[in-house]
Amino acid sequence: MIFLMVIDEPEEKRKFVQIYEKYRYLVYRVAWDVLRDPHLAEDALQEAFWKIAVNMDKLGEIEELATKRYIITVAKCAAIDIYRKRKRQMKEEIYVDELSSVAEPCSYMETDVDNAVLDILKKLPVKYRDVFLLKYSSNMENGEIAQLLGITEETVRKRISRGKVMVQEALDKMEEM
Amino acid sequence: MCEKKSNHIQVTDEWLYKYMPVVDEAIIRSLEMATEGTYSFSRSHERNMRRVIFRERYGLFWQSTGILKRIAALFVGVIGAFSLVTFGVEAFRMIYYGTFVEEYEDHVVKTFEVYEDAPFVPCEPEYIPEGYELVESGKSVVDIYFSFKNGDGKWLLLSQTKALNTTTYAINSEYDYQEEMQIFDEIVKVDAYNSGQKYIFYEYGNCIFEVDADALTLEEIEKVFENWIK
Repeated sequence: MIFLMVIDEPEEKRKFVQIYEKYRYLVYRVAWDVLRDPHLAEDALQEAFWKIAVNMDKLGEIEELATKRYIITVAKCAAIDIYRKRKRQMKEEIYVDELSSVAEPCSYMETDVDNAVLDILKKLPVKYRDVFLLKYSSNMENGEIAQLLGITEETVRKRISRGKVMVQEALDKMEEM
Repeated sequence: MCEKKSNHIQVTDEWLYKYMPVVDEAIIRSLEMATEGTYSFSRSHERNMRRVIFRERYGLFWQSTGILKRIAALFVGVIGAFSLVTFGVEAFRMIYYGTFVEEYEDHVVKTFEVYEDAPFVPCEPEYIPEGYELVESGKSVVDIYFSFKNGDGKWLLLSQTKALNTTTYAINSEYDYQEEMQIFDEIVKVDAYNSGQKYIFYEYGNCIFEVDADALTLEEIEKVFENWIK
């Protein structure tokens, strides 16, 4: 009941319900990919929808790509938070990059560049790719990205800068071949 | 600007704005295809989320159909208001509003009829069990809420809402068992679950007070109420 109490407008409450019913399995899948435990994944799902409820103003239309990307990112962050808490309890250090992301092969819409070029973007290390997706696909500002991922704006800028260098190097290498 | 000399691609913001959405769409599509919509969430999870979603879903249902399936209808509030045979807390509450209670298969609906308007006086809790910290709070002219969480991720949610003619509560009645506790001089029902979760719906003055606790004892919840409602 508290989720709906943090949402003021009746229309936004209905939208939250629709978002939950449409994306709960997707959110669960993202969380499970990180945590590999059904109970922890359910905990992450509840945390994720809590964060979504208090940030309804950041969501566009339910079916929009940016909305899906936001929900997936919130889910992943919630799962990673739980993962880190458990690993701290077990006195182990972990790094986000070690957590596997979904490695399903994907097909792209037809564009004027080769799929190999798009694969370079897709295969960026997760911490760079997530920032790229939020900035260049979801059109988020650096400050918004920092808040969502729980990092500083300076870190966001650095990841963008280093990520661009990595992509450029990979493209240059591909062109040499 | 996107520059392309021979086959050389220059990674610029413009180039990334053009191609990251393509990559994003492909990643999300493959993730959606890999997502099975057949997973069975645990009973405790479904109950947690249903309590969250439930009220709004049934609210939409009533508005769209206007037809209700009824098992029994109890008009507790009206009877209480006209008879006024009980005094103390019950009669005090009835001065302000009456509560209509309708029972359905898996939930109870409570609506209200306001007899006398009175200002909403928000109450802030003055006792919170050890280990719980405030995560979120909010206030409007007709309600106030607080959400607390402890180090184990257990939540304690408090809300106070002024009873209005437009207020509707849909409360899940699929609890595992009920307990009783005393708030002031009244015996109050507690909807309890095997997971340790407890939910209390308490009417006082012109308001409804709700407590939703993942892992508190009845004694702790009583102390929360005693130090909350003024």
